[in-house]
Amino acid sequence: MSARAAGLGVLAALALAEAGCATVAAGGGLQKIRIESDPPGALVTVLPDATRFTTPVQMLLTRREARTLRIELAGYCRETVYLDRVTSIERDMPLPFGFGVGLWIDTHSGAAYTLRPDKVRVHLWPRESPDRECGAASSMPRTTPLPPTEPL
Amino acid sequence: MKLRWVPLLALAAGCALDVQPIRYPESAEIDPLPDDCTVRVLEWHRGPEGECREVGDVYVGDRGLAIFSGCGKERVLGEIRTQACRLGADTALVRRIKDFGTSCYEARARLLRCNPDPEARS
Repeated sequence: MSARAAGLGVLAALALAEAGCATVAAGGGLQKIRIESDPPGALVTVLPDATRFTTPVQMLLTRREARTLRIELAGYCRETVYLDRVTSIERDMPLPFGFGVGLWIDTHSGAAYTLRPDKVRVHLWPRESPDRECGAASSMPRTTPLPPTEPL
Repeated sequence: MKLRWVPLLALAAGCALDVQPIRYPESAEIDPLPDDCTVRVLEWHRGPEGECREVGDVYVGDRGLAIFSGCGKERVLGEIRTQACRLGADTALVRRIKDFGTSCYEARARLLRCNPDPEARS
């Protein structure tokens, strides 16, 4: 075997070994997302899937799609959390050796991406909190004063 | 055109922007606006004045090699405007997503309906 053929063989082996690196390293196209709320027991609705959970919960989500989490509990303001999809660090590792094969595999398996944040902890504010009021998506600093209470 | 470029062009064409709109369940009855509707684009944290309804949100990102088909800020904001009209929103609150794995402009936008009859303005 010539030196050139041996070199090509090594290169091909590297390409195969590196292909789909993130798919292997990240354990496929699913990601664990941990959701906690204070107080616990809040209803989490995952959009657009429309699946529902109760906090605290650890759920498995496909990495390919961005999500919106709506966290609700009776008597408290709703909080909305946006899970953004960003590029996984492992995705580009195959490029120098895999000639894009790994990139293609990772992109199609979803492992090329990461959902961020992967740990969510929200504080739920009571509707009558003097500090914050309920907004359309989440609580926000209070701008309208609470109505006066009846004198004791 | 030489045939050897065909697979590369096909690959690039399949790597456009990834647009993921989410409509919120309580806004299902809001009708879409015309494709060329006017959409105010504001900073994410700059809440609009007056009463607005949260219609949904949209994520626009890189599908892999979107750089070949254009993925700059103007293109992404254009996609956000298009999705806002489709969902019946007249305002978009936009923030850029920090993603070091791509040179594309990736963004998330909250889509709001602030004017009950947005087309009456023009």
